[in-house]
Amino acid sequence: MSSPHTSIANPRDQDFETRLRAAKDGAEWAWAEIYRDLAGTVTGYLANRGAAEPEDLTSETFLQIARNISTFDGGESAFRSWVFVIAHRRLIDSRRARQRRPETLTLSDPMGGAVGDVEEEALNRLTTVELQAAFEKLSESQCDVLALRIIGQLTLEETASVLGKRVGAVKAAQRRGLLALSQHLDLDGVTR
Amino acid sequence: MRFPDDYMGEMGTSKTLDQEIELLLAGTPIEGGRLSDLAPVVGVIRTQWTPAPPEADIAHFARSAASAVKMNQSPATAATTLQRRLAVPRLGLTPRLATVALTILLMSGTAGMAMAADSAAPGDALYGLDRAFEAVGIGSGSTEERLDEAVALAAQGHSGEALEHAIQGLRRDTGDSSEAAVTALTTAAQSLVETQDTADAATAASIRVTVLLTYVAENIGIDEGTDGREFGQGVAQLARDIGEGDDPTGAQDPVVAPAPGSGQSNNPGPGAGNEADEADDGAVPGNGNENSQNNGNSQNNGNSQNNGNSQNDESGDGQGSDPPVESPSVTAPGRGNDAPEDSPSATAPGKGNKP
Repeated sequence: MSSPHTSIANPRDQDFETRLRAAKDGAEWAWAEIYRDLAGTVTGYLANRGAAEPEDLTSETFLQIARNISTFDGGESAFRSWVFVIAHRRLIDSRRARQRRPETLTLSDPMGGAVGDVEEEALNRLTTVELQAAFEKLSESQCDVLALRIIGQLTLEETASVLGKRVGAVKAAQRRGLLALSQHLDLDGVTR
Repeated sequence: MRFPDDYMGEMGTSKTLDQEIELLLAGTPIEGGRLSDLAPVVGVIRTQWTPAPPEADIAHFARSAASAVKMNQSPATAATTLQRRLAVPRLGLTPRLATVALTILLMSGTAGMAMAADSAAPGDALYGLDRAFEAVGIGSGSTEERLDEAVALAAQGHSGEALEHAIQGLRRDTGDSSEAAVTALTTAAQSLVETQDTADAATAASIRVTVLLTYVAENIGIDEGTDGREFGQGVAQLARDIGEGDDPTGAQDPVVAPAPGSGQSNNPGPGAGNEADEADDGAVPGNGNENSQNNGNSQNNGNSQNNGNSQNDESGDGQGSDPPVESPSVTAPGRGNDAPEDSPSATAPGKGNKP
């Protein structure tokens, strides 16, 4: 599968197997690596999708992963999907529990990432708030797809499996979503 | 705007766009492409919206996760073994007693949560983790902390939860005294099940559990140099005491309880043999089960409600909705209850899940 992150996955397939086995045996180092790798993207995903307490939900997600690791069998890609399946369900459960629409994102202000020149200039204008506002104009399913693909860095297939959609539907959603995002952000004159 | 609304109309264009999207998301956007404006957006989202977890969080999680895994392994194994023993008809145990015993063993110490206030406070980076893990009673604080919490729990009368809380804490440790303590506490938990058929007996047992846990908390590891022999004998004795009917304060308890470890114990700890005074209680090895038959219907009934599911641990159902934090009931549901909802399809969702 030629995916955005197979560049990470390929040389580490064996590493992952070792790590998974160690995780199942309760080795702390393996769990540290898993958390280091995925906690940030999970938190980002949950925050973007309107979780009230993204950190708490992340903790719950990973706790559940730890408790159920014995039931998991598969490679790194499958593992990432599994993690996001759990995160996604946690998210839905928490929304259901709160019985209302997702709240606005409460991300900290951009701290100035490692970007340069033109991009930096663009990003200075592109505050987190604006970005999130643009996201919120998208449909729920477009948001789901884009959050998993951009923040979660999942492949098409992984995203489809997390959301229980067909790959074709994911493709359509991301096409529409990205085009709409591009329009909403009105980047003209920023990067040109 | 640049893109007309009917942009998606054409298949060929969609395909091209799909390819561009893949490149964009792979971090190698097409120069001058339709979505090249979004390249910095993707970059900023990935760098700024995915906060790297602090090292402290990672270490904290790793510890908690590792103990969660081990906890899931060992009690499950122990429970299966115990269940097999208890369920065998020739032992004459009612299924209810078996399930009560199992429940006690499987209880995840939820009751401890309220008081297991770890050092992290709301707003701290670790608070979320602490809360999540404490919700199911694992990974909070050091073993010493757990033992202290267990003593406090026992003092409040939550003997079963206290024992389980302590056992969970001790399981993370290696060393002779920890093993001896786990053995003794497990024996105590079993005895506790058998001695709860009157309020007096329950109170007596509760006091003895507090005494036992206090002893463990204060003395564990103290004589590690001598293989923890003295400590091991101490805890074993105190654990055996729990099964004895008489009130630790001196009043005679009317109920004759079977000696701990006489029938079902799989823990022949140091000095676990029956002593003369225990024989007076009518409990001889292999005989305790007959006595305990009647105990199955005691005040523990509530617990047994939770039981049938304990086999479902690995069912991979995953459709449930209540996160463990939402079930703060004192009679902690066995792990079997909240686990199934926690296990969304374990078979590689990346592969076979397409409708």
